[in-house]
Amino acid sequence: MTADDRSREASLSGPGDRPRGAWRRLVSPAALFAEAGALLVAGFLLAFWYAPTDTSTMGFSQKIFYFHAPIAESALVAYAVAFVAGVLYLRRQDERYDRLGAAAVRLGLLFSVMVMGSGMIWGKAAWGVWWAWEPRLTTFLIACVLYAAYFVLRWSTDEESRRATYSAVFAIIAFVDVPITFFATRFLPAGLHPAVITGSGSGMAAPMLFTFLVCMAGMTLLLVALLRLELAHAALKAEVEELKELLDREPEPEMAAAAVASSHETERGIP
Amino acid sequence: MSLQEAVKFVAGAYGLIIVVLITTFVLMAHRTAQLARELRGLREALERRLTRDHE
Repeated sequence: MTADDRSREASLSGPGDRPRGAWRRLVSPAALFAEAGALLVAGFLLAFWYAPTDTSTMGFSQKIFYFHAPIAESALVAYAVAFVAGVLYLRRQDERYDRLGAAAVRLGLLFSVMVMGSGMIWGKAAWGVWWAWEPRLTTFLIACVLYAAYFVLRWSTDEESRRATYSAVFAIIAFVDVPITFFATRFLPAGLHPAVITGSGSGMAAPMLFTFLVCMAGMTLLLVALLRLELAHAALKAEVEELKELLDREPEPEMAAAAVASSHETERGIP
Repeated sequence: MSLQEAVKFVAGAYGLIIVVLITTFVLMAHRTAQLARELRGLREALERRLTRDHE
């Protein structure tokens, strides 16, 4: 990719993707982190000082739900982003979508680790076991293994366009497990894991639902903020490689000037 | 399960989530800052070369 291409790209997406007008400040990466942080702190306080303690079966351990469920939803959203990015890459062969897909899977895996960790602790508290081979847990574990394999595939392919194509196809195929995971508790209700929000409502008291929604919004914003930081990092890495290549040979002055301008643009996009 | 035991489990779960999130943020911010420094260094070198070529 030439410096001109990357300069144009920087003006279209990635770290240079700064919406115009009043939205610019609200959706800048730094603002997204601040908003996500504020919502998560509020959610944490609401969970312990506003939402009532569950009196039916789980008792105080139900408090884990307010962060556990939003993290799980965010992981699935990240995998959905990787799926969309994979489809877009195959249609347009644009490396921006490859970067987006890889960043989304990386964050999806990170969120999955938190879900598994917090879920195991909650499982021990609520069911008396750290792990149970029941539909939701098993399908979620399969998703984790599948998406971990995504990186094995990426690392084993050197050629960039081939790596991107394989990754896109893999992200699309792996996504088949996501709706199965999501609907496992609804279609296979025999498992231990409860389906909290169903078509007939949430079954939660209003303060619990409000707290859950605040945490959900905070976690989703955090995912978006982390995704933008990952994309900024990927764009920076590509820019650094480009400048290194240029310095190794004797570039045309116009090309060097374009690379300098492009690097300024990328740097401005860093959160 | 007693309340005291439940509190330990809840603290463990939230502790894990908070530690992972903070560590992730710090590591990501650190490596991005490192790359940004490298980018600035390379750009300055390129700018010096451009100036030298002009002269």
